[in-house]
Amino acid sequence: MAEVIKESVSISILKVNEEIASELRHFFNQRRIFTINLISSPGSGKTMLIERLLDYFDKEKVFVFVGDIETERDAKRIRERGGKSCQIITGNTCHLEAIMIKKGLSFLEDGTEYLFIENVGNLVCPASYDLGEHLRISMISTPEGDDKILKYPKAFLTSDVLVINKIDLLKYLPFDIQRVEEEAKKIKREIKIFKTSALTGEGVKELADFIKKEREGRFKD
Amino acid sequence: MHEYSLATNLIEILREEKKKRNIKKILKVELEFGKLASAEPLIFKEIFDIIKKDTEFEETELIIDLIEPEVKCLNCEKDFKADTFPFLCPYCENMGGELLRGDKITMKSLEIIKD
Ligand SMILES: [Zn+2]
Repeated sequence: MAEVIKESVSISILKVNEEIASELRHFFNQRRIFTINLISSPGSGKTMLIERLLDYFDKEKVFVFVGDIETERDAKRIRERGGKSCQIITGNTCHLEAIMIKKGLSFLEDGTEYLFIENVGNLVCPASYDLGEHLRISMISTPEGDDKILKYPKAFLTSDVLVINKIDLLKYLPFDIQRVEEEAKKIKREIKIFKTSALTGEGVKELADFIKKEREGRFKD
Repeated sequence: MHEYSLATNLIEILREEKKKRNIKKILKVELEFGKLASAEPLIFKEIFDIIKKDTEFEETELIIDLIEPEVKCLNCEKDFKADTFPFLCPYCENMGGELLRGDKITMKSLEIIKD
């Protein structure tokens, strides 16, 4: 009779994604493309925030990947504002994976300095998938309520930046912004917090400046 | 949704290991499943048990060991277990901390019959 053997292994179930993500990071570093992964629930205003951010960048040097389950609408919106963008259709998947980013690389042009990745609207699954990015931003918006941080801790734990969007609505909503900031710091002490309104433009320049400084810090000669 | 793509990943890894290690049959696969892996272990197992039927792993039994997250306190530098947020150090009551393990799903062992 054949012998039954037990073998110890240690293999991450996300092994393939992790390997491709480190390939991507190498690619971005070599070409000095500073890459930002933007995560939020649906309707938090990701596309509008990116549109607003574009006003503070040289649009020729920015590229946007928009992850979406089906439609091409969001990428079109960005192109209408003069940005360079392509849609990454994820099909049945509720998050972007490194392999999808790798397939999108052929769209990038020479001279790209910033790559924004608008992830699929969801605060759970995208947190587990490294896309080779340099900066991870998780965003919530005030109408979603002020209890999001402890509900989706992993997103904030793995993020460098928290953006609280739609602050123009603060005066109409029972949203305790101090609570959100305190809870975010409890999850991750070093997280940077920006308060924005993509609608009025408030706070967007500060975020844009921060992103530029991060790129300079990363690629200084 | 998420559990489905993870279960598919597991099948792919099993396929690769089977080839690499000259395995005739995989009887059991054991996973360390972090409680903060943002996936439901029961749903994951259910999906794996469904999709394995169309593969050479129809008879492979999946064992899931749930792992309590382990955190290192950034203040007193002691390690402690924590499965809720925010992480609160039981020694010095400092809030926050660095997650050491418990957010990943890792294959730990295979019970196999060799070729
Ligand atoms: Zn402590």
